[in-house]
Amino acid sequence: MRLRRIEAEAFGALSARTLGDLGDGLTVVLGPNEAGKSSFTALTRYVLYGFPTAREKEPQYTPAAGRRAGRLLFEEGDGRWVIERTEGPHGGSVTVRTVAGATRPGLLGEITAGVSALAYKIVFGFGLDEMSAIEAQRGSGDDIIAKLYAASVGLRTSPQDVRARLEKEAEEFFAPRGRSKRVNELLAELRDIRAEIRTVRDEGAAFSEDRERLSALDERLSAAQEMRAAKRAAHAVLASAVSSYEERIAQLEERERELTELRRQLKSAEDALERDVPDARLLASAPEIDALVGDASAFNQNLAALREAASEVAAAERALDTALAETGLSREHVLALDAGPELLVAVEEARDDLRRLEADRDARAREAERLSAIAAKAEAALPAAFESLGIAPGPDADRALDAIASELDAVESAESGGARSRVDVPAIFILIAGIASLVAGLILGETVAAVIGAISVIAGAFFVARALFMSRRQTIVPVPVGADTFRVRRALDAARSAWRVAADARSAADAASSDAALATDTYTTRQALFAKRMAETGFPAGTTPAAAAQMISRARDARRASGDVQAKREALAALQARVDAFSARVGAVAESVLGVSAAVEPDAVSGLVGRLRDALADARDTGIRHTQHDDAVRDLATRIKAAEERHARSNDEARAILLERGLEEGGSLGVLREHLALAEAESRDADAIYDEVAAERSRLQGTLDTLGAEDRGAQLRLSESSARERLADAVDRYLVTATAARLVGKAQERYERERQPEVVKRAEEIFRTLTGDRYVGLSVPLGSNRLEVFDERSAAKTSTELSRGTAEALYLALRLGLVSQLEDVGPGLPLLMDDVLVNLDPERRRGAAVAVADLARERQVVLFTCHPDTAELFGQIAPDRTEITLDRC
Amino acid sequence: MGRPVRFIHAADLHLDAPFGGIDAQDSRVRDALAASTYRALDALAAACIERGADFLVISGDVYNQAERRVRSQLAFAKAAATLEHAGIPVFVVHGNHDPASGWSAGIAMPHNVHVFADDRVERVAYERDGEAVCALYGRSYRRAAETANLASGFKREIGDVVAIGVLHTNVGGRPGYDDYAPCTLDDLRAAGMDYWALGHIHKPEVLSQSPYAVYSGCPQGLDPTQSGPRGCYEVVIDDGTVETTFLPLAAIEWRYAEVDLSRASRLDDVRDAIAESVDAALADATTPVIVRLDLTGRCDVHTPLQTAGALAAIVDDARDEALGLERWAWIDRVRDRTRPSIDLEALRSAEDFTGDVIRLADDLLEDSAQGHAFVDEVAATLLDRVGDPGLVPDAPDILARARDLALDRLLDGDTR
Repeated sequence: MRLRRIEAEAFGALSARTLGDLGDGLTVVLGPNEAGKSSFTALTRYVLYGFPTAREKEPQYTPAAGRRAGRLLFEEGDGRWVIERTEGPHGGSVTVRTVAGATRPGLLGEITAGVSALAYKIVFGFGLDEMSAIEAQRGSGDDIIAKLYAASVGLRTSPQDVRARLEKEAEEFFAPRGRSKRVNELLAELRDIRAEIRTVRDEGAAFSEDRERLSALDERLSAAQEMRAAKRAAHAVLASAVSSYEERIAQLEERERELTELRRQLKSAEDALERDVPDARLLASAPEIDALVGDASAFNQNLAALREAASEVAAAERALDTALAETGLSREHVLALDAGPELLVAVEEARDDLRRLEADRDARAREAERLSAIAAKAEAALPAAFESLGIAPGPDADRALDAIASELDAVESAESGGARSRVDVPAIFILIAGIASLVAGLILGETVAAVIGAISVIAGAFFVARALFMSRRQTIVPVPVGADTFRVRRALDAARSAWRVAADARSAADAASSDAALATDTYTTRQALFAKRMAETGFPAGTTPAAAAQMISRARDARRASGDVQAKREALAALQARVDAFSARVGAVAESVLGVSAAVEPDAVSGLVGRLRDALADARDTGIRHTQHDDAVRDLATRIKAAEERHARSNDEARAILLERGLEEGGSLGVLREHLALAEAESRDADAIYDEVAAERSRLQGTLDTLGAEDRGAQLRLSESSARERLADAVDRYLVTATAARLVGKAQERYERERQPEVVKRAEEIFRTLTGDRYVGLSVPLGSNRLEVFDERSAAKTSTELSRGTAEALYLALRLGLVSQLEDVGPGLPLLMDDVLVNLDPERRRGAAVAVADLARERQVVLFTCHPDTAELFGQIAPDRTEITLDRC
Repeated sequence: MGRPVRFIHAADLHLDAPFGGIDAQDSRVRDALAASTYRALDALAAACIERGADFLVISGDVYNQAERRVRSQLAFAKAAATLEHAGIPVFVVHGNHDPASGWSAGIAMPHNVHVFADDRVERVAYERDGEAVCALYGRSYRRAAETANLASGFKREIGDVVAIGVLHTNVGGRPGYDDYAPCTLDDLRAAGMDYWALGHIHKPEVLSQSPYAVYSGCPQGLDPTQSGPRGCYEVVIDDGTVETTFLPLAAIEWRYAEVDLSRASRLDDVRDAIAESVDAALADATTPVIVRLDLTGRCDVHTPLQTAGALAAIVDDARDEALGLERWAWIDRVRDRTRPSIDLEALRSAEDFTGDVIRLADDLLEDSAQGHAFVDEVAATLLDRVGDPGLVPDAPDILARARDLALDRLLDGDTR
């Protein structure tokens, strides 16, 4: 891996400047001051490790405009990659871009592997300022030589670092000359636990003694308990006595107050007893008054009924008068009239018969009139019918027709017909009906029916007889013969038909007239019978059935009204009697109780009864109060007596208490309380003694119980074991870590002693060459903070004792020696040196150039110089070097 | 002889004994541990009753007198009272942790408790239905450091149907245990007992079957080294034939495992491997377990494990999960004994700094004295400050781990 170009995008005075192409081995960059040599050196470091922030003590190389940015072009085989960084947070963003070949995103890490930024600055990219820094870093926390040396031997960390860290880790557990927290903490914890274990053991060891102490305490406790009980009992007895005495005194005071109050109440009750005396008369009349009050309601009803009955009587009388007036008869006549149901039935039957007979009469008359008209019409048609036959209608016309017919028959058939029987059927019917009606009337005693029956029999017999007579008077008339026979026959038939019609019509008309006459007679007969009955009954003549019926009805109404009037009058009298009787009762009581007049108007009765009721109620209330006062007086007298007895008893008891305590003389509550206070103090003392002993016993018992049950000892032993295990672990880890540190240290000693590092050997060779063998030895003790050189006489000098040029030669030798051994460390890093040979004398400068040229065969070297002679020197020593000339910026 | 003699043999109850070597940070675990010896005692009493034992024999060290715990003596008295109620006598000898001359809380034991004499071998006949069916011989420690051979004083009397010897002793000078009341198996054989009920050794073991000489072990393991089942023996002697059955009593079991992380490449692999080990420990036990793990193997995950707090975070996470199980497990200690995945041999041959480190460590490991001196020089001030003789550094282990740590740091690049 070779760095081929350094490109400054914006970096200090450099802007869009490129340095390259750099050679594979040595490249000498010749440029005057301010050509950018230091800038390119710094840019290379910053691109690789990041731009410093303003707070870091590093040259900033701030560009005139924009952010710092630069890139490095690396090359390996056919591959080319650009590492580019632009100023930003955390050193700026860096990208790896592949120009050719495979992508290598981890290229930056590969190139700088094992080389920190500081190491790079001191060893790989340095100028005169950094020359002495390689020693200044020694012995610090960032021992560059040690690190680079470690890298050179294949270790990723320095033995020095490893040892220091192991020692530090060991000191976390224990420091021989310091105070280690871990072990001391564990030892302190163990001490505490073991002290507690000892305490527990001591407690256990004292168990037997404690049990004996417990027995002794039990005895003391028992005695103290008895003493406490005795004192408590004495105190209790005295306290009870004091309490009883106080109670008695209080009772006496209460009794006295009670007696005073009771006596006051007695006086008050006696006054009230005298004041509230009830009216004896009222109370004596109480049953009667209660009865009056009870009956008052009925009285009021009676009074109201009386008044209503009076008005009803008046109304009934008016109704009677009206009814009598409607009959048109005198009161006596009406009242004497037999207007019973039979009369009314007879009147109604007569009315019905008369109506029916009147209707029948009128109907028959109308029928007779109609039939008569029909007969007249038929008879009027006869002349025309007879005219063609040459006969005139008359009584013999019938026979004339028969004669013509006979003649005609004879003409037509030479046979003539015989005489015919002419029986009048309706007449027979009338006859039979009349007989039936007559018989029924006679049987039933119905005169009208019998009369009608008789009339019907007569009429029927007449018509039957006439029919028989007429049939015997028929004659035969001559009938023309010849061509007109047929015409004659027809005329004959017509005449005969007309004749029969007329005869029939006349017959019917006659019968109807007969019936009408009969019906009229019947009606008249019935009317006469009715009139006779009315006259017998006492009705005025000419009274029609309807009038009779109406009169009967009104007479009956008048008679009912009369009865009603009578009944109401009787009821009125009864009510009046009850009202009067009650009024008299009330008047009598009121006179005796209230002293009012005994004559009481009915209307005043209610008010008087109310007064009596109220007066009685007042008397009763007074009586109740009187009784209560009386009871109260008796009760109070009893209670006063009992209170006086209790008072005396309490007084005796209080005296007995004092006597019991021997204080019959001068005893008082105060003395008793003094005795009680004394007993209380003694009881308290006994309690205190008991409590003390009991507490001690309880503590001891608790201790013994705890010892018998608790596992504190076991827990402590476990804690001890735990702490000891942790201590053992800490000791183990200390021993392993400290031994490891010591192993590393011993190995370092051996290594330094037996195996001087190649890097130092190489540096020593270079230094020897640089100094022209004036200095032949170089020692870099890894565990020390010094560089030692040895001259040809093996005299040792430290770097501070050397001249500047010699010291710089020494530092350059060390760098070259180091870098020459770092085959795999920072494999892609070129060595950039900025005019580091300027302070060397020509001889040492040439030696240094040779060493640099030698190194450039193993690792890429870029040497910046502003001295043409230095460039020329390298041209002589390394003709294959690459030389680049820089102009001023 | 009628029905066989059946009894329970227990020893080394060590009630309220301190648990050592555990960092029980969780209160649940601490409580369980604190109660574990008592729960084992309760289980022992329950076993006597359930098995219908004729009597219970306890071969010393019922409690740690040095702890002077009243609770332990009360608890034992209570358990004995339970057995008395069940008609089961208790025969006890004092051991080195509860010698006859030691501290006592003065708590009276129930009448069914018989403590053997400390000045002689005492013979006690056990009668059943008025018939002596068994003779028990026992002798207590008078003091803790009993160095006399007490077994030599035991002699079976003629006429004993069954003879049982009860002694707290270190038969054969077992390393790791105080050599108290030392004796040999021959001493035991010479006594003519049918069964030796021995105490002192906490791991259950049948030393001999002719005669039967049995360490019942402790009912509850007391430290991480006392892993595996712990309990008592049910012994049935029938017409000269002895049968023993081990009865587990422990409330908590201890387990140790090495977790090979050779194939682990991520911290998650470590977490999974720890969880698997915990699961395996639980599967192997019937009680909650306390697990100690050593992470071993050369592995890539070695370096991330060195990150401060990395292993602690994994362990805390695994602990939370293990404690959340129905039958919980407490991960007591997880030691990182992994090694960086580096080729030591290749580095050792390199002529560079790491090679120097390895070779220097090799020299120290080969020369034990030099190695101890090297570590002692580092540890001297610390150990002097700590003042705990129990904390003796294992120099080779420390040197090897220090070497690995140094190499790890040197080679891995310490970016921390």
